[in-house]
Amino acid sequence: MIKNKLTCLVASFLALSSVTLLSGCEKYDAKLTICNWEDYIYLGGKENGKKVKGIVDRFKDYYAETHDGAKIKVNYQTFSTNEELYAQLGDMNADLICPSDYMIQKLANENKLIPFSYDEANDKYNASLKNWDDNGSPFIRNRFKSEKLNDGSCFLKYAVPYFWGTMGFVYDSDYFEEEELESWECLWSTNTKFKGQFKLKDSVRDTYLTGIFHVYKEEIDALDKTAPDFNAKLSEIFNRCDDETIAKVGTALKAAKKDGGTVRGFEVDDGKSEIVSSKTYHANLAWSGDAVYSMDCGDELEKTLNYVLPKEGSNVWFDGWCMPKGANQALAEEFVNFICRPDNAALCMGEVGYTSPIVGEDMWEFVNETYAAEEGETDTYEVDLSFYFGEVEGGATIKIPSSERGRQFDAQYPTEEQLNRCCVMKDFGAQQTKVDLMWQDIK
Amino acid sequence: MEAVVRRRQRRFNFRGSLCIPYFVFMALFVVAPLAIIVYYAFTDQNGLISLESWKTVFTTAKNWQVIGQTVIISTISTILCILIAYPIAYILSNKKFNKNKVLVYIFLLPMWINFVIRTIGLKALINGATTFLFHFELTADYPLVAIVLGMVYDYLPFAILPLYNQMLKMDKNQIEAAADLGANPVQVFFKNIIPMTIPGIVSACMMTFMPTMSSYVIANKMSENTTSIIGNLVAYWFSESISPVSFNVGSVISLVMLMIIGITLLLEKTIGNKEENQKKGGIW
Repeated sequence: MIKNKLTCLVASFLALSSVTLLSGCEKYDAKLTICNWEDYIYLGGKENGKKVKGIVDRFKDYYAETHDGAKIKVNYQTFSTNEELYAQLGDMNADLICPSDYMIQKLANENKLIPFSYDEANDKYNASLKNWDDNGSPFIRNRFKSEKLNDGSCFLKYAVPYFWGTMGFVYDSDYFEEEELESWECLWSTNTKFKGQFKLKDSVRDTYLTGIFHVYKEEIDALDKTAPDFNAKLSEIFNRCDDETIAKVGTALKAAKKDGGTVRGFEVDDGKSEIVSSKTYHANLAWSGDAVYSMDCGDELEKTLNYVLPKEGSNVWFDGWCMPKGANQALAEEFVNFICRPDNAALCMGEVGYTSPIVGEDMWEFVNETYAAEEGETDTYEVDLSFYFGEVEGGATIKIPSSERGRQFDAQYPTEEQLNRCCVMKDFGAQQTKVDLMWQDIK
Repeated sequence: MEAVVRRRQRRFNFRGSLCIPYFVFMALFVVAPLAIIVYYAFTDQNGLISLESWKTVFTTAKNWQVIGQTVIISTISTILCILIAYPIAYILSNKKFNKNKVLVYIFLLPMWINFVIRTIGLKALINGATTFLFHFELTADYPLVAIVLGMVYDYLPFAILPLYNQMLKMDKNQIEAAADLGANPVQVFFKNIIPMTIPGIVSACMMTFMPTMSSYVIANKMSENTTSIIGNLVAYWFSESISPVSFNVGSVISLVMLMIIGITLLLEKTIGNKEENQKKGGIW
């Protein structure tokens, strides 16, 4: 009797599950798999009680419109570190991924990416990426163009920029003054005010650079900041990873972390929320977009957090859309083109907090709406963004209220001079294992 | 008679066939992964046989420090767990206090909540307490102590349960008899109760010692990512490193961890054998 009941149960369960499984098999004409960073796209939300569609849903509509009502299935996945993406790349059959500069370099050099149809001489993609060609920031184009891969081609051949940012300190302005944090040396300060006040990134790539700026401080200070090849020279120092440098950086970081040092701990994900309410430490090494997030959260709690880009220089990083081998090229390009449309880019930027490399009227409007001073406000400072936005109607200068200095706007749009002091990371290559061992030694 | 035997042999062995899923499971999820780890541990990035990764692991002083640190943390956590769990289990096994086993459930209740969340909660709690009382934060200033606290907190239920189970089986008459025949309470405890609960103690040790070796999330949370245990090393090489030899080095460290656990299992066996007469419980 019991056996019968059991059989019935199992049978009905199987029947049910097969029904649900089959109903999951919706018919679609195309399928696109995207693997993006967590919290790195606008996925919809509510505005005035109404549901607003996210980028993925908008793309589905757009695809239907442009393809006579054809249905597309978008499989949207996320990853949390470049390294994780690298390890899983083979298993996920993605059509589009969004790694950072040094990972793009590594993947391209290992021949794991499909190039876009990029014409380097004219700096143009073909018609399928028209939105980038029309709206890509001139500054980002130049910067990306000068970064070469092993085969001599530039980054743009393998990646269409999606977001970019810098790395600096987000800090509690009630505790620290900007001058105290404007040099990386603050991490090695013996002042008791700095003891245990910093959290660094639990990611060797990012924390390594703080050590570089400390170890080679004299050499960096001696560079001629006005020379045209200043950035190239700084980049060379920035990306050093010979045995001696690794050892020196290791010693420096250990000194910062030891008992009584300035470093309280390491984090990669929870720091951006922790710094908002932290009463025990008051500065966090942060990517500019996370800094914007922290500052926004702080504003809600009436705590003023600021962002500072140290004067010696820092890292400027890019995340770009890449197509791994085996991707559906046409579909992937269509999505990239769609997300490069200024209105979509502005939507994502508003949600994510990082800076979009897309410019154009919509974007300029978005920036002005978000940051520009009200008319009639007198206590303002002017920022010239023409190097970044190119030509905009009425000139690309924006007036920002002085109270906003060192805050969201400055984090999202550093000046040209600041950016000249920022360098792009290169893959450690064969030295990777040694860097890993150094990093474990610190922790 | 012969015919019966022959028929039996030909008959499909239903009971035996029930083991097949188990063997398939073991082969797929225990033997195969282990084989892959061994393969990676003894090859280099090109798949050629090499001991390079072993050299890398054992010539790095830090690894020795982490291994030592881990064994110490695990041992202290285990001892503390037993010391705390023993009286609790004793009280719980006393039917007077714990009529409906409700108390047992109360002690197991925290296990219903995800341990990462519990650990973050514990961290906030002890940091709040130490800042209020002594003006320092335990996790930042004494990460090793904080890790031990986290481990003890998270694995205490794993120590209570086997001890409780063993104590339920204790022969109460023997304890009474010992007291009647003139043993004082201390003697009763050491000569009677402890020997009767040895199997429970051994399995409680195993249940806490083994996971404390590898649960690096607790170590991360309780030390603000500043202090590593073996689990951290393994996790780093497998999920964070993009070095070409990351899997090889990670596999070697995994094997080292496996060996340490193997040694403790052997220890358990020798202790268990000595107490063969008492061995009624074993791992619950």
